[in-house]
Amino acid sequence: MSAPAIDLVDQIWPGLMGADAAGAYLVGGRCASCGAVSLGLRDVCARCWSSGGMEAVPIGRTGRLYSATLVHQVPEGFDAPFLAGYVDLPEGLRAFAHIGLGAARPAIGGDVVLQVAPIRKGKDGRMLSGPLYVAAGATSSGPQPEGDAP
Amino acid sequence: MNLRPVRIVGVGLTSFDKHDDRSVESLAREAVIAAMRDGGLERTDIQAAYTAHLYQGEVFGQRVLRELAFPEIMVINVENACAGGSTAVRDAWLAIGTGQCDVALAIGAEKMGRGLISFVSADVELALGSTAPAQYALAGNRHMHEFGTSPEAFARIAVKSRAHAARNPNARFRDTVSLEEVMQSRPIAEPLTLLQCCRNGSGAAAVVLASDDWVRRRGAAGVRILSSGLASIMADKEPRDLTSFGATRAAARIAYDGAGLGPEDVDVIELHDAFTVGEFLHYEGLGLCAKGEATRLVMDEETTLGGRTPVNLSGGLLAKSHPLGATGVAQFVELTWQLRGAATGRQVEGARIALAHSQGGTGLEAGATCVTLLARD
Ligand SMILES: [Zn+2]
Repeated sequence: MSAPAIDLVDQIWPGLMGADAAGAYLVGGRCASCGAVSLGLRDVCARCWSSGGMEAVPIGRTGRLYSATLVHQVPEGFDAPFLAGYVDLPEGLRAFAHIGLGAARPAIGGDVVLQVAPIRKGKDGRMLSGPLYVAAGATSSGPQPEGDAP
Repeated sequence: MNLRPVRIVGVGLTSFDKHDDRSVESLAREAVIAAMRDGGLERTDIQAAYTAHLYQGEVFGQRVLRELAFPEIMVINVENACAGGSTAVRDAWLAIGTGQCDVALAIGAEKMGRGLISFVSADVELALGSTAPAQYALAGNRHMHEFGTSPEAFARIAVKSRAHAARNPNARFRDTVSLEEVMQSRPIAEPLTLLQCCRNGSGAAAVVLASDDWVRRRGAAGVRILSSGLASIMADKEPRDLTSFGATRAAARIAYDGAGLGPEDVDVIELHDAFTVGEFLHYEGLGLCAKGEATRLVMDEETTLGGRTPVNLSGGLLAKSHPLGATGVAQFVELTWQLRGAATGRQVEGARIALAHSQGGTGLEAGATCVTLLARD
């Protein structure tokens, strides 16, 4: 299996996302003690309070759009406007993410698929990547085509 | 909870504005002096001061009060995001109610910059570009999706706020606006437009609270604090109903139960309308109507002066602007005037029961929500 074609070096938030042959995913943390899964790796499990470590697991490859808003007044580093929303993940968690526009724009309640996309400029002017959920079936959904980094 | 009865005996307010030429300490002192004079109080009457702010630095309350030559009193600095001011009033109420002291000041003040509020805390949602208006817009869009709510229902709240503000000489933005002007103002985070978002402002507010015993001994008067609830939603990253403000519901339940009252008993409300969508959803959270039905309240003008339960006669945050720490305290100033029958031009005739609601935090409910009930005799 070849290396993932998604550049995950310059992430908006360290350890937010990952990629494998099946495409992009959000990094979840599975508690070694009770098995509860959280968004990201936490130093303490919110459910059982164990600090016995978390295993990184892929979550949020797909989801359902809970709500979205077209943001016109944007913080520094972002291009206006962008669509942002909450996505309910199959793992029972809800993630804030950018949402596709145009043909990739899902309806509220619609199925979405995760992509990695340039989201904002960092302090040094480089583009940083983050999660972008697009309408399922609207684009080359599912696995990212190899060698076609966004 | 068995508490001594507590009354608000003095209130004071500065204008809310840019105040580029004033220090925040100076603003706070102006509000303190106004509240002390309003209640006919001596500085030796005051035993404690609770001071709310977000961004004004260490021992803010002490910096304010030492220039006014207060004696050696207990000073507590309170931070609870935009609900800090209400939390300070609530803490002062509890301190007096539990007998720690007889008379206390609650002060809120803030000096604000421009633009979107930049939170100090690192948070992945903020890093991804989430803003306060976006958070409320997400809740609003979900409400539209579930209940067929129209953007106009939100926008009408801004029209009402300005209509009330036109009657309040203390409000900052006193020009009335039409529904079209609100809806056609610059989009911020859809469906929210510029006129549906509160502006930053600087200013201060102060109230003096005293035990009922002390008030009677002095032959003074005051409006009574009946009850107060404070709640936070902790598991705010779990999927839950964003259209149902859980912290507002929880705080309201504590306040209603504590006073033996329900939403139908309330005559006048000041609530946290940082964004129109917030006010709209708080109607449902406070139980003014059933879930999904706030549109009816708006369209029937039930929360407008003359309606069943007028909301934000001061003009609210939308027409006053939002000096974070001061906002919650200023609600108590307005409601005290309402219960005294002294809210000239915007008085709810015969108002007996008042409700103050404020909400703060970096996410929708990741901060704190405070609901307090007040009454006149
Ligand atoms: Zn655990």
